[in-house]
Amino acid sequence: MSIRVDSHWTQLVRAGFRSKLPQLLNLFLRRLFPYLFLLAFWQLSAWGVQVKGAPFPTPIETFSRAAELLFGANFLQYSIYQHIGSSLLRWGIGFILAAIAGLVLGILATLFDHAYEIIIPITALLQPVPSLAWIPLAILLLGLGPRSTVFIIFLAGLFPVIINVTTGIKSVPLGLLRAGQMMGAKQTTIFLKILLPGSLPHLLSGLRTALANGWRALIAAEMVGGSDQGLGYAIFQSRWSLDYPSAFVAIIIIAIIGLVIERGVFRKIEAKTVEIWGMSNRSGC
Amino acid sequence: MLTVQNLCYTYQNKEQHQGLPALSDINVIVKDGELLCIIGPSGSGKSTFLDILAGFTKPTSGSIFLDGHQVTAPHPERGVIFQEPNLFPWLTVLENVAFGLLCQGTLRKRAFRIAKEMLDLVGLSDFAHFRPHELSGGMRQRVALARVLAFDPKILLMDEPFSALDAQTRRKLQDELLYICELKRKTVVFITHNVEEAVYLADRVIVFCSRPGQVKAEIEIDLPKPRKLSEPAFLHYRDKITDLIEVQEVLA
Repeated sequence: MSIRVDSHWTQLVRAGFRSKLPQLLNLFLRRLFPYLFLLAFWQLSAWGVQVKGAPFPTPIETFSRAAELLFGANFLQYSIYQHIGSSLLRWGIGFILAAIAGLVLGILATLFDHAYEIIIPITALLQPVPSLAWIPLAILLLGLGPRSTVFIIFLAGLFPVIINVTTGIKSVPLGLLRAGQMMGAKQTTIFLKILLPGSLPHLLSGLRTALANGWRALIAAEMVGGSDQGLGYAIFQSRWSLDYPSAFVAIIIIAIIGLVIERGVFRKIEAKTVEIWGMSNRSGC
Repeated sequence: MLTVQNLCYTYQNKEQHQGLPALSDINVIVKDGELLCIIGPSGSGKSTFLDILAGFTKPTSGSIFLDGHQVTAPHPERGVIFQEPNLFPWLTVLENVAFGLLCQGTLRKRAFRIAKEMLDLVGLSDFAHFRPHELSGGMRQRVALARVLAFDPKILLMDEPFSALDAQTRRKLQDELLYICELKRKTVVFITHNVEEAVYLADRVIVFCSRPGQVKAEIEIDLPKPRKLSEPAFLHYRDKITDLIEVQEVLA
């Protein structure tokens, strides 16, 4: 739907803002409506729970706590920025390792039949295992601490990348390979100029899944795995200090970061590649 | 000159040890500058035959020589135009046309100059910077023709290239193909299942029969081009070939 709304925007800009102010307001409210609805729902449930005597944070409490935290108040000995930073760092390292290893293994599996016969059954077997089920394994291998968390994120992303790389490369139509061959393309050219761009839609969706899985696994893994900072750790610890507003702030930050990466990174890459190439059936929303 | 000697092809089936014969003992000579149409009912292996000429499929036995060199693998001396355009969606029209030259080591500047000329030839210079998905089916097939002409192959292998197009577009592309062949003196092997198309285009028509594919008849079309679809001689050739194909379809 965003395409329609955006063209609306440009029309409004062309028509000049002032004369169209009521329309602009209307559009603004329409975009904002889901969030306002969520806020109202939140406020109502907070009141409902508070009647029973539990300290359920209201939006106002949460936002004022958010302001405190963003201005540098400490939350479990660290600033909120340190929590965000250490979570992002683990996530980034785990994701990059998963992307590299997944690409390498996926490409090996498509290039060599023997590699395929080994890599794909293992991937198919392990992929349905929920990332958190690896926590005991991670702790046994790497001990309690951030290294285990990174390892969990790595596993959460690895299998979707392998699967999407192999299906992506296999989905490139035979006709395109033959077209390359008859034009005299060498093996490396066929790989770099035909197979890789041809599998990009699948590759992007694999990376996107890896990133999202990793983000979810990260928060949960931090709750378990012996770190002393990070958003997941902070949420989990706040139950001892009864600092629920801070936990809510952390939840909101987690949601926003996920959304920013999805909209700001993957959408942009898609808009610059597969959408221009007519290779995506995504129509805007 | 393209020479096909005793060509056989058998589909290998894992369960059956014998396999299914698709092409049996085919002998064909394509002269330089000739436009040869191969026509046959479906199942006559004519597309398999073209795949073997292109080098995509290995024959079970027999051999193919182009100007004395044996054909074993795909090579830009044999340009292929497929039933589908098979353009690269991530490249612009111009980049698609230049792709072959760039693969073969032509310098960028020269490759793009030639690509522009070829787009001019097929009437698509205005669309150089479009992506394939933004073009109509007929335009895409023109690009497919241009990208093959760009690297100047010795022979064009065309596998029912116009079969997915509407009648008017097909007629236009047939005329353009004839014009280009005349201009560039190209040798063409053209597969079709459309009798009118074969008689309209070909210097010579080879009729395949089915299961296994074999050469059933060879007919020289001795009419000056451009041909008129309504002239008696044209109709005569058309009916003759139609009869040859129908007899087999009754048997099949």
